[in-house]
Amino acid sequence: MKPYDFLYVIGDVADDLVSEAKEATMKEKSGRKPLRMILIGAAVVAILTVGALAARYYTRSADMLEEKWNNSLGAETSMTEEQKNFIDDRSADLGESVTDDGVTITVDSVTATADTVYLNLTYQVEEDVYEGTIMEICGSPSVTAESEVWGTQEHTSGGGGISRMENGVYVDQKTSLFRELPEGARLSDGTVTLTVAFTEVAIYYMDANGEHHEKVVEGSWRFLLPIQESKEVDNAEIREDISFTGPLDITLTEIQLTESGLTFDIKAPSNDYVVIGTDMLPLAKAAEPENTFYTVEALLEDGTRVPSDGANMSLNEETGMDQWRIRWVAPIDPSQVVSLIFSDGETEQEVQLN
Amino acid sequence: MEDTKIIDLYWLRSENAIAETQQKYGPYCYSIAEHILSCHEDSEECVSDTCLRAWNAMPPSRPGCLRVFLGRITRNLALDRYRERMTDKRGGGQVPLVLDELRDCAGREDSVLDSVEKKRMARAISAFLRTLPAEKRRIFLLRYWYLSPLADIARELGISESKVKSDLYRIRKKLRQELEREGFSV
Repeated sequence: MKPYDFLYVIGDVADDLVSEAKEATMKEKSGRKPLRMILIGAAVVAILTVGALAARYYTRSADMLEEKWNNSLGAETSMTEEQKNFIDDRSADLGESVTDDGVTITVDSVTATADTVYLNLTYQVEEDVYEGTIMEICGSPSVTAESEVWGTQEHTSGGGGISRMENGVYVDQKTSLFRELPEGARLSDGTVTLTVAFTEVAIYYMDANGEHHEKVVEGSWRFLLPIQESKEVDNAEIREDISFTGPLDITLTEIQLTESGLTFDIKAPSNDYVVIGTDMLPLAKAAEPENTFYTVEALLEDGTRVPSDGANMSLNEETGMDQWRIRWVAPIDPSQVVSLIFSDGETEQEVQLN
Repeated sequence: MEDTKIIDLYWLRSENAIAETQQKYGPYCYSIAEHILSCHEDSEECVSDTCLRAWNAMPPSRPGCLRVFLGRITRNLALDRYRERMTDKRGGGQVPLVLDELRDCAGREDSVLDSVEKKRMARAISAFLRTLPAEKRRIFLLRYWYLSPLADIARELGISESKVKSDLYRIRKKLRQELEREGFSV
């Protein structure tokens, strides 16, 4: 069949799928409305406490990360209560807002693991916007962690996350990874305050004539955010190297599994391999960027395969090797991980954890 | 105006139907045509032709989802126009890129399907898409139904362009396997 004819066939897929694809909005759960919860809280909390039948109200962080998880893994492997509790224990609702030049940014909630901070943001523009408008924070937000115990550290990478429209309010999730914390330090040890500063917001929209526009608003949105203390969990170290025998001749070494992701160094016989993206451990030959890349998933005790949704790479100047950090779609408990599953799209290689 | 009322206007043969359609869905249809044709004038003509086609189709049609009904007309009109253009050697838009990508799914077999088989294949693709996580389904449809540029999809979903590319690559590969499993020669 010719690709051209195939394109026409795709045109006949079910209406609801086509319609869904253009709907950037996902239904917000009622549990994500803290203001309403506060207003009715006095009466309801007493009843729920006495009755001990309360459905737990989660932080916005836990709800957002659950939604992200479910979107990524599909409805059949939705997030368990245990997993959601794990995230909730590391999260706090905030609701801090700053307005500049007609744009209001609100930090709804914060989740922190030992080395990674997840910010749930909403932002809103005062002027009228057209249907299909998208807003996003651009540039690199400045993120600094300050601890009474171990001093000040700036974040060394960031970005990524989801963005969507919700009745004129734009919800976003930003992740910042602190790569060089002092020995034994944790962001979630209860002593840390985070300073986050945004300086640029981009608004994309289409006018009534179908013309696309992009508007950049510069300003200063600065937040001082306390980080929730959470129980320390043990990282898992994989002592053996992992070698791949497929199209890419690489070996992973110094592998460590954490709440937020996976870190390792890569040994490769030459520098033929380049990173073609920042998602799911994609590696490929520079000349064949479409051909081969690997993904990695964490297999949990309950059989769930947790994918990654972001990665970054840097050069270790001492060893000359590429250092990778892969981020899971949401924080997980390393003790629940039984193996790591690597795949090149054709075959899988499973590495059991002790 | 609600879709059901616009459809009623078509059935009543009121010319307001076209004005309301233009107002509500003009930009939506235009963006589909523009992705395919990359030409303002041609895209505008496609939108006008879409209204004319809708006028001729309703009645007897009463679409369940007016937006997709109109979008599908625009898409087919724009693809037809693109095809005419190619005979004049005037390319453009996302079509050449998309066609190249779709060679992963189709193009190895020189088969010609009749309209019944094409409908059956469309149903198989729909069923396959329903097995995908919502985000991946969106990526596929934004690219191959709406012919949106990769950068637009990445921006809309808040993910990197390379993730869009790698997801599409994997989905195409899986789709091809699924279609072959269903007995289609692609």
